[in-house]
Amino acid sequence: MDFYDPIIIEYNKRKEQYEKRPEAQFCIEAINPICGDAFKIYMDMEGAMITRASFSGYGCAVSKAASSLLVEKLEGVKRLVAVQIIEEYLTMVESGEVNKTGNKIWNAFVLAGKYPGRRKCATLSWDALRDFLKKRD
Amino acid sequence: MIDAQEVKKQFPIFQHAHHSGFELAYLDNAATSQKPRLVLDAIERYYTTINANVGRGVYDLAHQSTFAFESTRKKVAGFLNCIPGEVIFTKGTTESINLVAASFLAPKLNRGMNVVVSQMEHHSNFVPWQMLCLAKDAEFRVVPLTDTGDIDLEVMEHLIDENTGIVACTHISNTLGTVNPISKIIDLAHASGVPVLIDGAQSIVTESVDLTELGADFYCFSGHKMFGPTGIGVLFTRQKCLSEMVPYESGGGMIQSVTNSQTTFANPPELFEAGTPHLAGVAGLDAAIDFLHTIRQDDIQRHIKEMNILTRDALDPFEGLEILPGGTNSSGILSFYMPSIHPHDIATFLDQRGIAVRAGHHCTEPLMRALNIPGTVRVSFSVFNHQGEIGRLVDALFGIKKIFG
Repeated sequence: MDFYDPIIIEYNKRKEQYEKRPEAQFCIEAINPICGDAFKIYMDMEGAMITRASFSGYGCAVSKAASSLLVEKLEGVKRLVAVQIIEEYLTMVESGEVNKTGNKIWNAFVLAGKYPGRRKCATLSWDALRDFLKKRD
Repeated sequence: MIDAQEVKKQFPIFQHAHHSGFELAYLDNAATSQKPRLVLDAIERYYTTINANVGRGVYDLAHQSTFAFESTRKKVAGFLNCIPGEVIFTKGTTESINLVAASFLAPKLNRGMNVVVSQMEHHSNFVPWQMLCLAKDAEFRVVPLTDTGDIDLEVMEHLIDENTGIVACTHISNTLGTVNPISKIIDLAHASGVPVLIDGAQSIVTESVDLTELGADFYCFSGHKMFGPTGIGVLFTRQKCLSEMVPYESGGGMIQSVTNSQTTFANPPELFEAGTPHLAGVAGLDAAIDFLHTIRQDDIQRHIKEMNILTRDALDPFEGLEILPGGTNSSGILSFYMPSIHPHDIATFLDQRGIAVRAGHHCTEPLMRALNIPGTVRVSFSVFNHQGEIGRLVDALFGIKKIFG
């Protein structure tokens, strides 16, 4: 298996979701002290609806691509739906099982997460956002 | 002249298939060395022929084990040109430094005093002193580096004064590869009457050290970085310092007599070797010294320096790749980074091509902060590395540039 699936390379290079927005309503930090990866996820909400989301920060290709994918999924989604999506993703990556009939994009991250010492790269931002959204119950 | 391919045959790990399908190019020797058959056999021979605890049994096996253990102490003393009583067996460099911090410096360090270290120290020769200074309200002084990756000796001279408790400095930087002029550094410290600890973790393989001539007060290293096993190391302590030290760990082996109300202690080095030592580790260390004698330290030094120069020359024209300065005198270690590609991505990509390198801050976070970079990829050579592996490394780096660049 190739660690760097073209999907990860593409998401790593994407610019659409990468935007520093300190004025955002919420700023959630995702930090891995072991490797120094550090991202900020910026989010605006109207009631339960996430109306705007972006991210910035420094990290490896997988953690950056995973952050980009996460932010892409958030906009226009209600908080509880977002939690559900995040938990589905995390369960899949943590299981290490590729779903052959499932989402190709997610599968790329499952494969990356199977590599020794790299699972946290695929889950860093997702973990941080799940914790944040759950606390807002 | 070293025939790296021939020497490689002595290391069983290279006979195992690598997960990538490529032959393993092990370029992480600064983290730990691979183990030659000679060392592995010595460990097995210890357990299968003379295993018994040392220093207490009166039966033949215990005598053999004790004799072997003390023979290695003598061999280490010969290797370093010091006396056997100055050789303390520890778990490794980290424990050696912590031992000096706790047993030698802690009782005398107080407010108004200071400790001097360099900006290139490994955490193991940085954090123990920093913690001790914080606990004792002493000043922790860090000597900066020059643009060439050398310790700024002029600044160091100013920072060492009559209130300095110790100067702690590495012989070779584990991140930059700089070989420090330790003789000069020792002279600088001694001019103010300050004792010096030299961290020899990276130098023990290539630098032949004569501690009688060098004059260092403490010198330490780990077995596992010199082809020996993990969990065994050495702390050389000059005899005059031994008498100033308080016990480190207490328990069996370090006592002379124990009553309900008091304990009298054994003399050094046993005083600092409480509990059953890592006897098989000592047997492995013994064989590792033999291995170094067989290959010759000078030849290893020449070989890995040549590998380093070849790699630097090959990477020099590489656009988008910055090599960190390796000091005026550089060993077999080099660090680089590619601003557009994370070091972990480079290391993972290389691993998929059978090349093992280290990525991150290499336990030198203060150095990374001083250089204002998050981390590097480090390549560190040993006796079994050869030019073909450098070619594979460079090709793979071009490959990753194509994908990420």
